[in-house]
Amino acid sequence: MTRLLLLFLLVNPVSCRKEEAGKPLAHHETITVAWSKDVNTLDPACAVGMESAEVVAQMYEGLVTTDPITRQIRPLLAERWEQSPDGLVWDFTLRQGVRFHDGTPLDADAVVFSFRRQMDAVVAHRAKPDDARIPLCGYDYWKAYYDGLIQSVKAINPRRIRIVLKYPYAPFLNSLEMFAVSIVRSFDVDDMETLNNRSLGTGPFRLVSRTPDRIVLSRNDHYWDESRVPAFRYLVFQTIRENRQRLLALEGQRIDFAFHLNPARYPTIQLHPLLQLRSDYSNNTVYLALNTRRGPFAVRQIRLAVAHAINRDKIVKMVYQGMAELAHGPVSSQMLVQGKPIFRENDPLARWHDYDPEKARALLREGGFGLDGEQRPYTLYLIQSPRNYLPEPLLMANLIRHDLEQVGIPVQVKPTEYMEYKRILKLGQHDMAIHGWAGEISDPDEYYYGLLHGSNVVRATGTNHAYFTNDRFDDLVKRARQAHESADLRISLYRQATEIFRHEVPWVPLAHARVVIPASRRVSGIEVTPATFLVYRSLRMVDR
Amino acid sequence: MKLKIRHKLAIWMLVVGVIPAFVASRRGVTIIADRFTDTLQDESDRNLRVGISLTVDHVNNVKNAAISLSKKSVLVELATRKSLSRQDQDLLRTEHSGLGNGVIHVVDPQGKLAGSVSLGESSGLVAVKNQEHSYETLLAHAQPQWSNMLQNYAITLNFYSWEGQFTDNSRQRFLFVQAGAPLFDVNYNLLGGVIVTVALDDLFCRNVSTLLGSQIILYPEGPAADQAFSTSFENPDDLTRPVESPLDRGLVQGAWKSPAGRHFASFTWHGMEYAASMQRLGDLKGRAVGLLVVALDITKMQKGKSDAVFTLMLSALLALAVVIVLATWFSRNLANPLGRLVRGAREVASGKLDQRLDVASGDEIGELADAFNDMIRNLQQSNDRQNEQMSEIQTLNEIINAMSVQVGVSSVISEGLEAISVALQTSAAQLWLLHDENGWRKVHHIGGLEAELARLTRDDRPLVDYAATRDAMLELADLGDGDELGNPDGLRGPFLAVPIRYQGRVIAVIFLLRSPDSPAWTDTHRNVIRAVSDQMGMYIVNAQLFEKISRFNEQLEFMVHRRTMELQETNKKLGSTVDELQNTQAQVLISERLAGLGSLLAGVAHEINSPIGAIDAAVDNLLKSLQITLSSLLYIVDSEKDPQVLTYLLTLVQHYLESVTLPFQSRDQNRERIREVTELLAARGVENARSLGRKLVENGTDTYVVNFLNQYENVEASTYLQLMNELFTIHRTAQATATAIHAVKRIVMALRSYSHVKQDVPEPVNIHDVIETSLIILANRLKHNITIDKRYGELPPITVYGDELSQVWTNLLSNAAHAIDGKGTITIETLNLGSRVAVKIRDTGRGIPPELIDRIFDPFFTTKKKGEGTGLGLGIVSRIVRERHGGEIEVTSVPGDTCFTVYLPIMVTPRTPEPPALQV
Repeated sequence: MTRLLLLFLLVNPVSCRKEEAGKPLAHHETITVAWSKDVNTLDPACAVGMESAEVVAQMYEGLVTTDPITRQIRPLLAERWEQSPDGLVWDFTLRQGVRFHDGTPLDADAVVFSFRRQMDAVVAHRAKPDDARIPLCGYDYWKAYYDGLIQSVKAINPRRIRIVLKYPYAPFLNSLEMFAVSIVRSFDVDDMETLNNRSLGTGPFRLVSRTPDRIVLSRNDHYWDESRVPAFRYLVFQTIRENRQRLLALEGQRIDFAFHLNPARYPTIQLHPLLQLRSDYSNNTVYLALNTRRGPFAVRQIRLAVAHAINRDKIVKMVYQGMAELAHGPVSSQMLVQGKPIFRENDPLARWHDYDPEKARALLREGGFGLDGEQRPYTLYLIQSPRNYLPEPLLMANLIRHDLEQVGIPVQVKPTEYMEYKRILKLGQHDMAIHGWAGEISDPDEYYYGLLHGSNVVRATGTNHAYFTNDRFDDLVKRARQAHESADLRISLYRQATEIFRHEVPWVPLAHARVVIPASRRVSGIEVTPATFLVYRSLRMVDR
Repeated sequence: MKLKIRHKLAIWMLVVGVIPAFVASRRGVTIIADRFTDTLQDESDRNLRVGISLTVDHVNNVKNAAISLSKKSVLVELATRKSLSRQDQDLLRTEHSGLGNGVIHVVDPQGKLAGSVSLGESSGLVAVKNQEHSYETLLAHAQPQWSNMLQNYAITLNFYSWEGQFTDNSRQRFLFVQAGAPLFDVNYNLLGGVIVTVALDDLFCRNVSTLLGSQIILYPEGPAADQAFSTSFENPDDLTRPVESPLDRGLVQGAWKSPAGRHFASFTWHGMEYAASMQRLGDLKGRAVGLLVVALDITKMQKGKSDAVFTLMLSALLALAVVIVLATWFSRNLANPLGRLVRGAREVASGKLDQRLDVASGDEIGELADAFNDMIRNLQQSNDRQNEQMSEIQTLNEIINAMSVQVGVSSVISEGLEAISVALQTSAAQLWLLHDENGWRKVHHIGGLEAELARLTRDDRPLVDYAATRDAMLELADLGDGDELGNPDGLRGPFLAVPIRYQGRVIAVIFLLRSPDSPAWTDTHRNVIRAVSDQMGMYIVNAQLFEKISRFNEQLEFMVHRRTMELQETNKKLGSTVDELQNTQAQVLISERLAGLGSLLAGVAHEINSPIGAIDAAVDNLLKSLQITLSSLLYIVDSEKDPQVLTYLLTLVQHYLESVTLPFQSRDQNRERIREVTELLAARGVENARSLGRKLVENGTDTYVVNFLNQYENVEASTYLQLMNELFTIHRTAQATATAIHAVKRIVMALRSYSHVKQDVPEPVNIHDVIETSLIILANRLKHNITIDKRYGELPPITVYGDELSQVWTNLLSNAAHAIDGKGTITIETLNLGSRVAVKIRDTGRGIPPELIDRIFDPFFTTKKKGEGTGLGLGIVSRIVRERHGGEIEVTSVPGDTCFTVYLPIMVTPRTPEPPALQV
């Protein structure tokens, strides 16, 4: 009898098949993202590079966020906040009912922990730079934004946190959306690997597995904002090193997003019936920095001559093939200050010096170029590998060289590796450098202060690659970063600073690259934040 | 209706055979169909994706061709000189022959045609041969595209559906790919652009089809959905003639309208079955321009599917037939033997255990019958055995009961042996016990032949020795037959020698003899004696132990008595030691007080020294001030005409002396006032106006000075001010002196009362005064950063030994100061509790560790470093409070809050005739 029953079951194969578990992820519930490089860490505080940041931003959330459409700051884990009149004391009230992936409720202690672990490590490390026992993974973002700014971070009660600043910092709220200060559940800081193996965030996705080339996240079904729980189950990040392989996988619909593709492929992708090519505004500026402390570029007329000599319009068109806007200043005219634009439409301030080689030659004569008999070619440094915001660096450099040589400035193009490039620029041994900056916090402060303020000339930390110092500019920019009371005041200060920038020409601004996203038509609802993060949770699968 | 088992069996087999066969075959067919559809869909989908990829690849090639052409110097030449040699044209054509049929155009920066080269066969396209015309037509379609290339220097790529004209004047619509790349000279000046246009015609479809292995059809967007198309299908009747549209119009239109842009269908073409997957192609703006159809030949797959279904149905039928045959056969063969089994079982149930079944089939039924027979046999045997065991158990119970109620060794043995003898019906029973030192001894005998049994030997040694060395008992059916035995008396009868063991060791041996005519030993006998021998060993040893313990008990009682006597003696000695100790303690108390005084003295001296120094300085100042006053007075009397001025001044000073209380003003107000006064002074020509002004305001004399100056605006201000100031100074100095003297007086008083050691009777005191005295003594230690917070309650005078209490407070406060280590707060709180008062001394120091808190009142216990304290302080405090005053002292301590609470009765009755310190 039993044998007969068994036989009966064997004849009926379908019923057994369906229950098999732990098999490949269901394709119709999985969105796969592929890029060329590995993710180095999953610790938000340590993440550098687009890959780590992108994965981390899916699992962890900050106190606030920027709306991808309106680009206004919006509450996230903090439900509301108050700022003291002097701009120094910020009280944040946490949203209720938020839980970490392991079920622990979010409380003020976790927020304090998320800040303090970076603050304490940076302080301890400064005191004892050689002590290997102090866990430190760089904390680059902390150092860049908060070191020396934040006085204290304290829990007032389980739902409220008080952050005290040493001086008012107008874009402070913007800065809190950075993934580096995402909130993590507290853990033993001596084990720096914790976050590489465990999912301790509050975000819409949680870590399922991590192998060298593949990270699998799954939807957080208990996400606090029920209306924003992702519509699909799995989000996979896959490393496929070969560009061609990545494109093939995308065409074969085995993956849904392919980053770092060869831009020459974009026109083809646009025509591909199964693929789509999205391009969006992104916070970045690509510019030619002129070393204001070296050789002829110390003379303003000569810098202005360079500005007139370069046919930027042509260069940007040829390099970006329509995927960039021409730059006219340190920031794009789309940049907002607390939701308000800095530049008006047809603003003369947002109009860079015209291409005029004759004027350039006259200015060179006026500035005494070549009178000292110096005939050396002037160095133009660039990172030779393509970046998101600069797909063909060498073409750009050669076009610039061509234009400069037309007016009589000899140029030597120096394509270099990233580390060597950084070293040369820190030593100030360059005459010119092509540089790009992709902002993290959607505020002009990063550009005006970070890249142009006199205090950032300091050689060890210097991000002011033009070695530009101007007392009035420095004063305006410093006031602008502290003028937390009024956006209008900040805008007026930045406008005055822009005027000086235009007059002094420490840079020749080149382009604001658009972020380009090649994707499968299987997905819709692609949104991109100004800091160039894809908002994966709002993606949807298109029904076939 | 009652069914026989074979009928049921047949029905069951049919049910379990037929139904699954039916269900399985039906399921199988469905699955095959589903799988077929799934596989087909997947396969088509895959085919389509690859087809799309190949198409896009071709598009990409066109784009790459445009880019590489834009870098060719010949094209630059064409753009500038507007002509190209025949040779160069052929070269270009050969290089790009892989692109298929099309044309390369070169335009100038304004978008005007500069020249062109046709590619491939060009399918006889008029448009290509007639270059001007073709270009104009193209331009009309592609205008925005070219402007993008020329204005933005961008590589452009797009699809177009466009109707071309053939040599026979027929017109045909095609899908085209167009790629454009800007042309630059060496200085990056725009020269124009290269435009490559390639038709996705039959040639293209056949190329893709070859790579893909499926057929391709490409419908360009246009008015008649199925009229114009390119395809890889060839007309089987005549290869040179164009084919009809393989898909009918309805299918094509359905695909165009499909919202997803993708569509699946199947169609038949020339007897072959095809699965078609279709994908709409869009241009850059997303407008549909073409429909790509990938047609997969599924003829073979369809055949495979039918074959599978047929095979499945056939096997199902076969299985059914087999099941029916088997069912019939099984029911026949099973039913008959089963009937016999049933009958046999009924007989057994009625108690006939001698039943045997005779079923001679060799299968499971036969085995079942055999098993049934075995079962009945076993049932019978076990029935017999059970009866025997019952009697054994009964016998055993009797013997063990006989032994278990006994406590002494001899009674256990005698009762046990008696019971065995009765149970085994022996004529003689004898028990030998092993005595450690003396070997075997016969301890009990029942029946006759006692000496004869004891004389039995083996190997010239007593039989008991031999029996004890054996593992098993020695059994003889007849004692007379044992050749190896020494049997001097010729005893006869069944004999047993049983070793009795305890924990594996033989402790006794039993000889059992039955009368010569008795039957031999049975299994029952053996089992009983075996079980009893184990029990008996245990009972014997227990009994031996019990006797031993009884003896120990007696000894113990004796020893306890002796120890008690010794203890009483020691107690007496201890009494006198305690007396001695008490004396010593009293002496220690005195030395502690003196030691405390010594350590305080240095501080006290310092305390006195400061006010004395102040007095000294004050006297000097007084003398100086007096001199200045006198000379000022002389000067004024000499020079001032108006005597009223001096009178007014002195009246003001007098007024100040009478009302001297320094008004408190906040610093800010002070500063403001100082400024005002300074300005006034400066206006009146006073030197050092600022420092004088400050001094006046700080002393609170500014009002008087200002009054004076306002009254007399013409006098020489500085002289009068000096006089006034000196008079004020004299007053203040005198006050300071008095304060200093008072301080010295307080210290001396306090010291006197502290050292006043003898106090016979309690006296009423104000406890706050006593505390204050202690504070004065400790003033030197309580300075600096220590805050004394006094929270005195309303207390009545209490009758106590005040001077001794002073020592209590001094000790507690000194400890508190030590605990907070020079920084913190000491709180002194007094409470009126009715019949008692409480004094709480609380400090914010490091606290007392919980493990030490019970020991702090022990004499000589200290936490201070060696040499810092005698460790007697709190011990004395405790004695003074508890024993002298009948009070209580409590302590609570956590880090940061340590509190000593002293409770004192408001009236002490002198219980101890002398204070402890003076008992010697």
